[in-house]
Amino acid sequence: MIRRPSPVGRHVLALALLVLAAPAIADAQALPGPTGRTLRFAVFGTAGLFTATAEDTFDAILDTRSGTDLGVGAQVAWQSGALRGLFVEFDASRFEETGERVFVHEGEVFPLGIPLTVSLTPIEVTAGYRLNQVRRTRGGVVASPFAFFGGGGVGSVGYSETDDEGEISERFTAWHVMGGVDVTVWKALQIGAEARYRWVPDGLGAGGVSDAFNETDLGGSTFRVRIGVGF
Amino acid sequence: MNVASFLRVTALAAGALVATAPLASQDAPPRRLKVADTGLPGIDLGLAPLARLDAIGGRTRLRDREARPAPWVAGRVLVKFRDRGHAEAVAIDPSADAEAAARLYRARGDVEFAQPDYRAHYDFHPNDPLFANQWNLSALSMERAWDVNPGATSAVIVAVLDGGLAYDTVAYQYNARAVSVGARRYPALGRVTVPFAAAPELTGPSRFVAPRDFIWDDDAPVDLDGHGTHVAGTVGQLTNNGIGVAGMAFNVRLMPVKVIGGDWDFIFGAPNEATTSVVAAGIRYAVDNGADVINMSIGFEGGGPLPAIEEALRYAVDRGAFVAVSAGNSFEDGNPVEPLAEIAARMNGVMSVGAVGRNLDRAHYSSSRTSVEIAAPGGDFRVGGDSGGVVQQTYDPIASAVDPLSSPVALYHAPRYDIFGYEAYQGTSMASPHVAGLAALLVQQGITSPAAIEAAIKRFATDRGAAGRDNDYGYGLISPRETLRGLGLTR
Repeated sequence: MIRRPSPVGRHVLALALLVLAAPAIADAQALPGPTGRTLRFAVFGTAGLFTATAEDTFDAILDTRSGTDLGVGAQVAWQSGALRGLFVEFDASRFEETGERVFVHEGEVFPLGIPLTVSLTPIEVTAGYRLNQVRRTRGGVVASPFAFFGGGGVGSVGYSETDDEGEISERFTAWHVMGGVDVTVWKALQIGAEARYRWVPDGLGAGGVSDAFNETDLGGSTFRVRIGVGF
Repeated sequence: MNVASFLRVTALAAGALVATAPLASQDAPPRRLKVADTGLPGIDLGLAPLARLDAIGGRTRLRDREARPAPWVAGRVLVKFRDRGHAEAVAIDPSADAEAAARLYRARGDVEFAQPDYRAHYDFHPNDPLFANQWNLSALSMERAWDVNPGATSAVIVAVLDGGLAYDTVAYQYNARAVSVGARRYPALGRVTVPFAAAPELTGPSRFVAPRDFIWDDDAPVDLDGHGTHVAGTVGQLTNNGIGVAGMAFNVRLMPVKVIGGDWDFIFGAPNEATTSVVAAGIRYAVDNGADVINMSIGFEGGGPLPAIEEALRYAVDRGAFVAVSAGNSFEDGNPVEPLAEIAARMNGVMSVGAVGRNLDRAHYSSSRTSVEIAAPGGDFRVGGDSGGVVQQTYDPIASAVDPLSSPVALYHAPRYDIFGYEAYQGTSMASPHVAGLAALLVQQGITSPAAIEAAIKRFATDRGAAGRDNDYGYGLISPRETLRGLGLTR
């Protein structure tokens, strides 16, 4: 029998592989930063796919557990000194999908045709490690276009549920790990890819479909591309 | 029909009418002879609806002269501060413009949104002038339920297994034999021509599906009592038509299936009486002819098991039909076992329905047993007198000579079934069609499994009496709007 890793396990494994893929960490740390300045700033936008951990709950309401996730963020990274390689990142994103209210009986879902819009708005702060790849040449140090990063942090996830009776909204504390790679494609322009896994314990399960399915985590994984400028 | 009358109907169902042997039986009388499709509309006596319309009109004119009220509640606005979980009411000067006040709040950095506290209204308010008399529908907030699902559609078929239904405009000739009840001897009336009319508040194009009469063995299940017509009205009285009263699922199609005989069926010599085999055949017939929901406002004498009925109900549920049954009216007669309700309680997809009065307490007659699964308005004349009953359109009791074997012999006369009124009845017979109507709305809304319909009705019921399920109310009073809206992701 083949055992598939759990969704959480798969995401953590992916993050680990991304971070481990960074080559020659020790060598790189001995070299000066690619810009020659202590701090590197970047702002970026993101677009990706959010996949909810609460599979049955989201699938019942939205007929899918995934949807588009759009966001913006800013990052500051230390390129030299004792904090070299560390970064702090703030970002906000939004997931919004419309489905319909349902009734669930013994696992069977009966859609009721009443539109229901669900949105998640995480605001998160991440601390992590950024590997700015450089290499020595005869002419000096040349920055690699690739920068791998990984980290974790805390956030607040705004949840809202809107239907014909109005909107209910709440905020929950969330925890996450993330990792990815940025590629400098032209001057300060960077394109990257990122994977993130978020836990929002007890964000679900107090009522509604999530209670019927006994799912309590409002979190999930996000795979997204980042486009930004660094300076 | 009051409790006593209902009980008598159920007594007939068991063939237990006391001392009613015909004195002078007519030789081989024709069962009944269709005289003509008269095509005449029924006469609607009503409850002075014109006077009520006038009163409404007067109130409207008065409002027209007044300044139009603001669409919001004066003296407050709703403000959502960014550091709060939800919007809250903030007091303002009652004379202030709430829109302007909300704009001022919205300009503040710590406010996410602000708005006047707008008045809500029903999107659907039926214009039936006697709707105000239907406390039973108001108690269930049916106006709000109809905002979610306005009366289902003709795609949903509700079978009414009862004593027939005023569904056709026709005349039949019967032979009324003599009957004795105790010391009273009701004379033979001989051949009588009895006019019938379709109930104006039930009939419409393609309204009736596959009518079937198991008492007379034909396809003409006309109502010789009024009970079935009243019950069908609660399920699907035409609504928002400017006359009379409303029904729960007013757009459904109705299937009249006659499985109970009344006094006149007996007097006219109906070949069959209501038995378990007749009722079981009626259930199978309804399912085989497309019924999505079946209402059975009937009871059985004796407390013994009814395996034939249980098998037929299983047949119905397995083929996707939800069944509502009355829980029984005998609380004050020893609160006996109700065998049909007992079956319902152990079968998902069949629900036994107890009754509440207009104070929403258990009606004085309604059974209080473990077999009661849910409660709905059934009326209680001890709470509010006649106004405590459930009002629907059915035959005028005088013209239709309802309960003939209870009336003095001097007043005994042949019935006519073409004169209608709005009559208040009480009984779990009246409660059950509320649940059948709700089930029809749920089928239209998308819950097609009988077991899921039962689970939904229980899940969203409003608890009454002792906390949790109890013998008076089962899981509580039905909550149509909440049931129709189902579940969100977290609410």
